[in-house]
Amino acid sequence: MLYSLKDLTAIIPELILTGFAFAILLIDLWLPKRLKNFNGILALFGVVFAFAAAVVMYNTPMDAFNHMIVMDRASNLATIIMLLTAFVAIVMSFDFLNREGYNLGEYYEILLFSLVAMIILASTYNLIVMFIAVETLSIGMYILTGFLRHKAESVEGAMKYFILGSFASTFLVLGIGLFYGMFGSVDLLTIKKLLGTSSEFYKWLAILAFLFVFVGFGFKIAAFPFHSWTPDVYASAPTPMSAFMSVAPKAASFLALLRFVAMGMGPIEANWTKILWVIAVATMTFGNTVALWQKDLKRLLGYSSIAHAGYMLVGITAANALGYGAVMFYLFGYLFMNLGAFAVAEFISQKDDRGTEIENLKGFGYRYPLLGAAMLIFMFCLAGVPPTVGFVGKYYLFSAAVKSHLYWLAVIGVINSAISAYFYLNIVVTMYMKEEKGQESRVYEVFNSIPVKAVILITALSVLYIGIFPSTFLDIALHSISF
Amino acid sequence: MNQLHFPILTTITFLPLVGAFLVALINEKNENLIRYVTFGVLVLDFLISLPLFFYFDPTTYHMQFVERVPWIKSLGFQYYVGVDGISLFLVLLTTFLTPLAQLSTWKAIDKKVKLFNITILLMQTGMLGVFISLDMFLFYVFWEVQLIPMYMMIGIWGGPNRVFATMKFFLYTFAGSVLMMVAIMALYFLHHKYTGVYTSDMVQLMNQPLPHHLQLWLFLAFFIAFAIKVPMWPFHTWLPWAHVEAPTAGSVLLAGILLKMGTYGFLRFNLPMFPDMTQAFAVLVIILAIIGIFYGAFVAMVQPDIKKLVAYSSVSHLGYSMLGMFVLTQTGVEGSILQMINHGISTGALFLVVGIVYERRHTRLISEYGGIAALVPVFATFFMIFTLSSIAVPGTNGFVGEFMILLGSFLRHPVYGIIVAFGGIFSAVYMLTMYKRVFFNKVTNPKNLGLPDMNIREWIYLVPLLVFVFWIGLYPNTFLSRMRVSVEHLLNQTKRTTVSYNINIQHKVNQTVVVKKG
Repeated sequence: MLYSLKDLTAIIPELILTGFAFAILLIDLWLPKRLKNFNGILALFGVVFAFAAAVVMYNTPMDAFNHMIVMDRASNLATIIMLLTAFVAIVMSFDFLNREGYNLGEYYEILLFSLVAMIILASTYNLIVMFIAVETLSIGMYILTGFLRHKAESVEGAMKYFILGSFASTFLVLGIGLFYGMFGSVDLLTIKKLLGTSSEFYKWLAILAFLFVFVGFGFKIAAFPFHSWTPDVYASAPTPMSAFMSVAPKAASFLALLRFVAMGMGPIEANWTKILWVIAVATMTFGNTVALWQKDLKRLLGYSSIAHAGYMLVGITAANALGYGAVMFYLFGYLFMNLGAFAVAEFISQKDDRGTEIENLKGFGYRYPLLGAAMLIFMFCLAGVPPTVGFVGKYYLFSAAVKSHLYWLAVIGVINSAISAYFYLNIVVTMYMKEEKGQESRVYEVFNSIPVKAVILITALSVLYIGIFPSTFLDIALHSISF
Repeated sequence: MNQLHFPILTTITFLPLVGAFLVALINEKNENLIRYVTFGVLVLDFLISLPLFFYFDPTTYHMQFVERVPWIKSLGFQYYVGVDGISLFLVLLTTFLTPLAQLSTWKAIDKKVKLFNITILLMQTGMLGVFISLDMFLFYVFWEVQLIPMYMMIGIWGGPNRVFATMKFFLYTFAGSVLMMVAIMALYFLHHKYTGVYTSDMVQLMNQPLPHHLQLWLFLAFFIAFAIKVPMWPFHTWLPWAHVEAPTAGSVLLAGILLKMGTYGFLRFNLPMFPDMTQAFAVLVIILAIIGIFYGAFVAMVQPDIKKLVAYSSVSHLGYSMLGMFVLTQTGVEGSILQMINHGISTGALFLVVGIVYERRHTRLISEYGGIAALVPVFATFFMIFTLSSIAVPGTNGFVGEFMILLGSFLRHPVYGIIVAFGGIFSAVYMLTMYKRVFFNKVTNPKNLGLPDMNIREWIYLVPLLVFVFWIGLYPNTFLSRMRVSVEHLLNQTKRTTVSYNINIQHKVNQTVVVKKG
């Protein structure tokens, strides 16, 4: 049980982020009010350096701290996805925090600390480490949700998130406890080995434990029926944080879930795929159906993110290499489409982070032709229409299901895409096809921030580019999962 | 085979996309420049597509003007395009009809002109892509892509109920095509199962025999996707809405080209890939087609709106096309393909002339007109000729197509031929009644007195259509000779018997076993 300095190389990205977080903590004390943006810039640098480290480490898998940390390609790819998300979220935050009058160092520190937890969550076989990582990242997220503390909704969202989140964590820890009780180990590889040779009774017990653990992860990825916090939290959190939360913690949790099922639960695969089949169908269908009635863009994106979690669960349910690779690819694509859509929500938002009703998009397509076109691309992308990354991603997820002969799952998935087209297109209709009744109907002015505009345009171009030339990205995603 | 040694198909497909970028750079206020540039690009596209016709080799069923570039290597998807005798004329129809449709919008579209022209250019790329794709994945991408511009076109420039129409159009077709997506995936993995190769190459897949139970599901999935697009009765309910709400150019392209994607899909997927199911379902499809022929005609009879009448006539005409295809005789299938082209020309032209009166009077109700032949003689003549071609009077294009379909149906079973022959009577009834009420007798509505006759621009876009009405009507061999061999090959593919399949599959399984053992 000896650790060497070499083990530290496996956690270089985490160390960089921690270092920068502490640096912000110290420097913030001496920063005059007008220079608070410096915190954000520092955080950006931290993210960029960590990103560079993850890219450099990409092809050199490392196993450190007695298998507690595994930096393989999959965790590196997830790290890259999370860091890109963080980068965009920080860029979206500058003007936002200034407008809201909350430009505080804590915001960036907490963001970086929770990033560290996410990276660890994505890179471990150890259930206890997983649990600690989930808790650490959750606490960060609770605080960031309630960051606009004078706004009642924001605080309420944070409260809901916190209470439900704690509840889910207890299930997670209970499941882990069961595994430990059965096999005397919290290491997934050991559990898998022992599970393969264990009695029928233990296998059934393992399914129960699996379910408990799944409640924990299901909460994080917003799978039905553990999704109920999502729309409230997304709608009430500061918009850049909603954007961040809709991608980064999900990427981490999905990878942890992938590791958990693909690496640890092999011997009971036939059982958990059945469970996930039901959950995937329920998640997709619930998310898409309820989204039909949403009037607020952020809430709609909340429900849509539930549905997208359902699509990704299809890839896991398929339980083949194509499906696992497809989940990684989808997460990567989802990063761009969802951040872009949230950036549009931020663009139309008002002081106190209000005014994100879909109605406010009336005439948007004509007032801002480029941004309107970008939003159009995001909507078609989320609906899964080519030539966007959303289509390619769904194609691979569902084709993984077809490959495993889960034809009905694929059919239900594509029918869900057709349902979702309705509410995504409704936004396009609002932008382009509804008449604006004079100037007075539009009381609000948009949040005309240049970084946000840049985010919208760059993500839109990325969505198209990856959609048309997916080859390289797909190869990376497919080869990232080697378990 | 690419006899030109020049990527002609890629050029014609993506030239409009480049044009769209060009138009995007022009200042919005410079509307006329936008129109000219768009028209120029579309005409250029048509000119570049002409060598396809002249260099086409009618003696082979192999794909011609082929281009092949690996696209997503790890999965075996390619950028693979080419045409044969079945798709050749659909490509040419597209490049021919779009500039004419665009020309009809110069006065009619006066808001958001730039966006409109960009939309039309993007649509051209999408439509051509569908007809030239020989890779399933590529086909699907283009199939979906062209939905977006049509959706925008109806939704932004359409009539008062445009939002409803546009949603109905999109959701209906999208729901159909996502099912096709699952079928495409299944085909892809099945091909791998039998041959050990991952490919989405349609030409290879056409030769891949499949067991019955799989054919059944795949056939049905493709059938629903294409039947919605055609649209076959009872999947047609989106069509009248879309047509009535769409601007003239939108209707022309929708009827002229987009609907052909459905019939074309049947020829590319259902017939060659699932021959047993094609044989088994033929009677059912024929019945649906015949219902469509009569249903479309009856509903057209009672329409007060000229455009809606033409829209329902489309349901009827495409019923003929489906019938000709599924009687599975050489004459029938050739007639079916010819009827696709005819419908593009005649119905496209009818929508254009309806657009011309609408532009002048802003109403399409038959009751608003009456006796206007005396006021606008030239226009009335054009309208007459297109009406006649639509009801298949000898000497016009419609006659040749319908006659061949009838003949083909007789060859399959006399009953089909006899029933369908009556369909022609009904189409004459509704079209001629409409014509009479609009053009003959005395002028009843004083608002029509000042109606101007056709201007030069309108001449320009109607005369080419007129030429084709008579060219196909009098000398169809130009077209038929280029289809013959491809259709023959297609029919041979649909006649493969089940017995030979099982042997083939068994043979391949044995082969793989041997390879594995070896």
